[in-house]
This record gives sequence, C-alpha cells and structure tokens, in this order.
Amino acid sequence: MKSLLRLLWRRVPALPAAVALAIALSLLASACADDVAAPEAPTPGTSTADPTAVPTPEPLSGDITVFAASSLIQAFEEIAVAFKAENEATRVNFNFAGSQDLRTQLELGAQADLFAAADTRQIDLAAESGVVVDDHEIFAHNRLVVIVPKANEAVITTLQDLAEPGIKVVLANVGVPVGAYSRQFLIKASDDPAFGPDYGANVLANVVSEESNVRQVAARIQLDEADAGIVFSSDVTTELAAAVTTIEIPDALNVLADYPIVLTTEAEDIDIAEAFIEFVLSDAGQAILVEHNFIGID
Amino acid sequence: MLEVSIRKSLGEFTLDATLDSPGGTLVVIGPSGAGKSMLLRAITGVLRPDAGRITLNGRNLFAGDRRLDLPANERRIGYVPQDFALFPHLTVAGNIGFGLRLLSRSDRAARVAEMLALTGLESQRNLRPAQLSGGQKQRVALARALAVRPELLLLDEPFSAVDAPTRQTLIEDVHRLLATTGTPAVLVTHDRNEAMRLADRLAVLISGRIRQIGDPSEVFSAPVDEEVAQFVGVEIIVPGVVRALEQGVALTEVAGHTIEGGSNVAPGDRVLVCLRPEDIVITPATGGAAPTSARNHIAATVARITPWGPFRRVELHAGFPLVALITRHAEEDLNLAPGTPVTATFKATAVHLVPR
Amino acid sequence: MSATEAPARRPNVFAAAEVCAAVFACLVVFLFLCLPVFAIFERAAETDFFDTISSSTVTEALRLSLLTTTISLTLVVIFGTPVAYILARVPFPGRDIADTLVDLPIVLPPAVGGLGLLMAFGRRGIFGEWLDDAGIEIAFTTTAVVMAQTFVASPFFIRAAKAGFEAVPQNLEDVARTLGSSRSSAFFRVAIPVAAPSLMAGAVMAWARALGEFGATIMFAGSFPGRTQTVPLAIYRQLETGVEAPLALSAVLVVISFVVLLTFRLLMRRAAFTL
Repeated sequence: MKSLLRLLWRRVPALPAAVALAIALSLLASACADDVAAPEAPTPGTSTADPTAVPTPEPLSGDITVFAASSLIQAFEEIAVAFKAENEATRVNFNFAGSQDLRTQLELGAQADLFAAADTRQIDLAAESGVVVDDHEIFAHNRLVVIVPKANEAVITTLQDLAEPGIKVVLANVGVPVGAYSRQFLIKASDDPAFGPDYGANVLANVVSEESNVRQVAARIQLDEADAGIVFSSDVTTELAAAVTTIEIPDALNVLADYPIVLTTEAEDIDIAEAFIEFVLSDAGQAILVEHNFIGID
Repeated sequence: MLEVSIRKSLGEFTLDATLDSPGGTLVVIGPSGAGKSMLLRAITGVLRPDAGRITLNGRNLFAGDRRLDLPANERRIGYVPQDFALFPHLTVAGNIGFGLRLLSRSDRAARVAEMLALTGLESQRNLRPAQLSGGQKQRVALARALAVRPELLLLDEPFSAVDAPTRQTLIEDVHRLLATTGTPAVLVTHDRNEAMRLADRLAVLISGRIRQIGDPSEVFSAPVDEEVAQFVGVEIIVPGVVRALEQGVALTEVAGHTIEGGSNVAPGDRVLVCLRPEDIVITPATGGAAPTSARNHIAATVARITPWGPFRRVELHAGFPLVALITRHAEEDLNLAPGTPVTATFKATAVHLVPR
Repeated sequence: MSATEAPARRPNVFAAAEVCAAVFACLVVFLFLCLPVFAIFERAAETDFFDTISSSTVTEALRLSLLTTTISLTLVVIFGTPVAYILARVPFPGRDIADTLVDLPIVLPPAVGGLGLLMAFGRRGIFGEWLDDAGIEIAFTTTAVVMAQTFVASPFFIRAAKAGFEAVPQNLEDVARTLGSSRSSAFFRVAIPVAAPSLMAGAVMAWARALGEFGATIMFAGSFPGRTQTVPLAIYRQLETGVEAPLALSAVLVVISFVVLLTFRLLMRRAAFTL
C-alpha cells in the first residue's frame, strides 16, 4: 500500500500540488470564517412575566464594516472605542479613504455596512448606483482652512497670497469632497472684490499636485513639500498643528461641508449599523466630533 | 627574441618561470595545473605578474622593478586561447579583420583575403563561428591572430579541443603557417607528440617552475630530474634517416647503426627514432647470441648506472644515447659496471618513428 | 522461458493523469493571465471607445507616459550599462554590498521608494535643500516622474545586463585586446554585442516597470494632468468618475506594450547567435 502511494505521489505531479492547494484553501477558509458569536447570555430580570415591563433589549454582538472619509480617521476611531465600551460584543472595522474612492469600491462590489462621506454628492452618486439606501443622516459639518508649513518660506500670510505667481499649492482633486469644496471657495472668493475675478484662476494655476484624499494634502504641507494647501479644520490635529500654520477662511467665503452617513444596501448587521449611526448622532458621539474640530449638528 | 622571467602568485599557486626563445617555436610542455595558461596570459599582458621582466625583441614589455607594464593592446603579441575565443557576433571574415581597424578599407579587405587563402577558409568567409567545425575554428583563430602580423604568437593547447583525426592535419597546418609567415611562437601543450613535431626549443613547466629548457631531443632523452622524466617519459629519441622499407618495416640509419622497426615512412624520410628504456634488453657482449625474434642488436658500452626506485637506469654509449631499465637483480647477475661492453637488444615493434 | 522478458507495462492511468494535470495547469495559467486582458478589451468595446481615446485626459496621460518612460529608459541604459559591466568584471572591495544596493529598489515597495526620493530630493530633502537654494525644484515636475521611474526600473536592467556581461567569456575580451583594442574598445566592440540579447531583455523589463510605476511617482511627483499624471495615475484618478477612461487607457496601454514586446522579441531573434 505504501509503495502504491509513493508511486502515485511521484507519478502524478498534480497530486502533491493538489494536496497543498487543499490545505491552503482550508486554512484560508478558516481564517475568513466569521467569529462564532458568543452565545447570548440570558438578560437578567426577565424571569417574571410582567406585562407592563418594557423588555430590555438584547445586547448587540457582531461586526460591522464602516467606509469613512479620510477626514474622519481620528474622530471615528475614538467613536468606535466609545461605542465598543457600550456594546462589548461588537467590533467596528474601518476602511478610510477619499470619499470618492470609497464610493467606487462599493460600486465595484466591496462589502460594507455603513458609508460616511465628506459631502452629500458622493452619497447621492452612491444612491444612484444603488449601493446605499436613499435615506441618509447628516451627522457633522466641517469647514475649510488654509494651511502652510511652519517654516513658511514662501511667506504666505493672507488668502490673497495664494494667487501669487510661483507659489506651490496643493489641493485634492475635484472629485474628492474637499477638492470640490476648495474650488467652491475659490469661486466665491473670485466674486469678492477683495480678491479680484482672476483669483480662482491664479490659484488653480499654482496647483502642483491634485491628491486623492485630504490627508495626502495635509501630508504635503506637513513635509514642507508645497507652500499651501486647503484642508478641513478638523484635519488640523495636534500633530499636524505642530508642523503647520493655519490661515482662517472667513465664513462668507467658506463652505459648510455636510457629512452624511448612510446604510449600504448590502449591510449585514443592520441592528449594529443603526446603533452606530445613533451613537454618532448622540451627545456622546457629537462631543467626540467637536473635540476633533468638527462642527456638530444642532 | 623572447626573454621571460616572472613570478606571479594566485592563491596557493605560484608561477616562477624563466625562459627564453631565440625565435622559431618554443613549446612549453607540462601537466595540467602547471601554470601554462597563466604563463601565456602574463606574456600577452592580460595578467600582470607580481615581479620580473618580459622582453621581446629588445623591447621591455614588463619590468616589475621599474613599474613598467605595457598594456596588452600595445605588445603586438597574438593569442590563440584553448577555446579559440572566436567572436560569435562576427563572421569569419569579420573575426579575421577585427584587429585591422586602423587599415584603410581596401587594405583590410586585401589582408583578410590573404589570410583566408593562407588558411584555406575562403568558402567559409561569411559563416558564423557557430557554423564551423573545430578544425575550422582553430584556423580562423590563427588567421585572426596572424592577420595583424604579431611579433610573437602564443597558442594555448591549440589541438586539445579537436578530435584526433583532425589533430594531425592541424598540427601540420600550424607548422606550415608559422613557417610561412615566419612568426616566432610559444605553444603550450601537455602532449609530447605535438611537442616533438613542432618544437624548435622545448621547456618543461611543472608546478609553476621551468624545470628544463633546451633542445627537444635533449630534454626528452636527458631529463634533468625525476619529475621531468616522469612527465616526458624516459624515452630515447634519436634523429635518423630512413634508408629502406622492407616488407613494410623501415630500416633507419642512426649514427652508423641500422635500426629495424616502424612503418608509414618512405626511404629518404628524416625521422626521430623513439624507444622506451623498458623495451631495451641488455645481454652480455659475448659472441654467438642465441637466435631471438628481436631484430635489433646494438653493441654498446655501459656509461653510467643510476638507481631508479627498485630499478636501475643504465645509460649506454652506442654512438647515440641509449637507456635501459633493468632490475637490481639483473644488474648484479650481469655484473654491470661502467665500461662493461654489452649488447642492447630490442624488438622492431618497440621502435616508434616520428617524422622530423 | 526466455532470459530477457519484456518489462511489465506501466499502468496507463498514471500516464493519463499526468497529461490531465499538465493540461489543467496550463489552462489555469493561461486563463488567469489572459482573461483580465481580454476582459478589458471586451468591456472597452462596449464604451464610446474612440471618443474616449481622443479625449485630452487619455492623450495627455499617454503622451506623458511615453515621453517619461523613453527618457527613463535612456538614462537607465546609459548609466546602467557601465555599472553592470563593472559589477560583472571588476572585483572591488564591497562589491557584494554594491550588488545588494542595486537590487534594493526591486524589493522595496514603490511607496517606500517614493518616500525616499522625497526625503532626498524634495524641497526639504538632504540634497533637495541645496537644489532649492539654487532655485532648482524637482518635486511635482515631470523630472520627478522620470526620477521615480528610473529609480524603480534600473535594477531590472542592471541585473539582466550584469548577467549578460558575466556570460561573456573573459577570453573574448582578452583576445580583442591582443588584437589591438583598448579596454573600452573591447567593451564596445565585443562585450556589448555579445551581451546584447541580455541587455535588450533587461531594457524591455525596465521599460515595462517604468511604464507601470505608480507608488513612487504619486508620492514624489504628485498627480497633475499633463505634467505628472502618467497612465497608471490617470487610471487611478479617472476611476473616481467612471470606468470608461480607465478602460480606454488600459486597452491602449496593453496594445502598446504588446507591440513593443513583440518587436523586441523579433529583433532579438534576428540578432541572435549562439556562443
């Protein structure tokens, strides 16, 4: 018998490969298998059948995947920690990227439960493609600021300086929410006599790179590779603030960015997803957002 | 006129060679690993010795003490390596003309044509090396080296990469080419037959040192030490002239004696008669020898007897140098001593003739 | 009974199994390699292909990619050939380290390469600072694209060229020298022609790598249409707005690459010889 096996092993070259493949596949499958949910513990205090008592909801357990805009990285990670503190048997997995990239990924078949974008345009497009449901909630606002490197060798002190020839400006590309917002700001400024009608065109002429998400814009300035960039005020974290100087954009010229969050059509754990949205909208969630320089909803 | 005296160490091996050649063909013979290729590469200039001197026709090519090292492309020394090293991306004509870049196009074409004719390669002129036989490649390599009229030609084991039948023809071709072009040469080989055929002067290189240098027959018949002797084979090599051919067996006159043996020669041929001492039987010089099948009986006198391991090497005067190898026992039994008259007997089948 | 009997015949089932396994493996590989390419063309055919091709996004990206990869390849070959030769022929102390350094960009993720280039040649870079003082700025320019491509592509050429030169028997160059060639003349007239197939293969690989370069480019040169947005960057950017432009770009790139590779292969066969 052994010699027959040996013969088989040597004579059929696919056999060792097939065995290896089978092992590999089963390992892969086991790695991907969902964690077995912990058995639900019986909730205390329901043994007496009191018809007037409101039944305590069973604790949530399971995983959700949240696609969120890059500007939300720190805020949402902190929210997730707080959410898990309240719902111990849950886990929130994130995918952070530019909102437009996330929408594209969803359209190409990626699985997620929630989508939180930096503008409503991406959510609308996603709804049109049928990857998210129609109802979304605005959970935060944001506004634009201009950042320049601390060294500021280009000596940019006012917004008008951005139009000076030779300045290197970095924006997100127009498909990214903050990139679209930045151009809205430029259009508004060009209507303002304090800037002049050529302002927008001149600034755009100074753009040396168009990034795919707001954090890349911030990185360019942080590394002093460019003279100025436009990001969200929430992006000026303590770490970034150490490397850049912020130039405020007055409200009249600024854009109030709307941050929507929405269920995807492929959401699996709807209960947890809706609980997450609720948490984000709750006082606790809003407090965290404001702490990270977002503007809360009223 | 070539004078070489160099030292070069490479790892554990040291080449320490001194030789000279007045012209003609110097054959350096030695076992593999003796440093023969290293020697040639040093003379060409692609390998720099650690110390010493190389002079060619009065020109210093290398002088270690004066930090003189003429680059290989200025030495005017041709080189034919063991694997021929033909340029695979050029045709035969392209290979031959490679060194002729400084000539005008017409001069170059003329010279290439000349070399093609000389080596009999006209019909192969547009072939690539990959399409040539071993013998043809050898001739291209020679033609290429000789095209630039070098002052010296170096050949590294030129016949080892060729099959046996082609070898004989090639040896003759090389001999003829060198003679026709009048190019002095240094040829390195481990084959004694090639050495005998081509050498005007013979040097023995063993373990990196030149043990002996001189006339070929001298080196072969009077090896200077045991290692040289073991390599060249203790052989008797004497020049002679074929007088007649009887029933296919040659009769050769050597220093007044007639030696019977050998074939494939014609009367009038100049030959070298080769014998092995092991084949020489010494019999006491008493008259009336019993009839034997051995055809050759040479009267001789014992000149010297030297120990040779368990044997005795007996050198004999016979008008030409003869050496016999006998046991100690035999020496005692025959009462041999210098001056003892003896008869050297050997069979015709022990005789080997090499055309000269 | 005869002394020599025919050996027992092998069971046929094993031979058949071998053939099946081999065929199966071939099918899997070819499908896996060809299906994505075929799919691109199939989907591209469904779009307004020719309109998209003539759009400025596509033509600018193509023009930029072809321009930069040509320059990068030229630089790689001009500087890489002598380096490869030295690595192959000249034993110098630390050659192993030099060898490894040359190979490094292959192993490094392109983003790391990009970051490194930024740290070295960016405005605040080690070398870049001096350049900046002299008024020369490299980041965000087409020059940066060329540098990123050259950085990632050179090991591919140098490795192949080095192997090619190592395969040239030293004897050939030695003989060339005895025939009157100087060292550099022997290099050009013997070493390069004999190593040519390897050099060309290396050049093709380097060009292909440069063409596909993304990570180092986007980090060091940024992404700006017409100036630094090469085809891979354009595909990535355009994917945000739809699949048409990416499909068109991809299809054109596949065609160009195929034509170039085929041309090289045919050229090499004509110039081929055996040593």
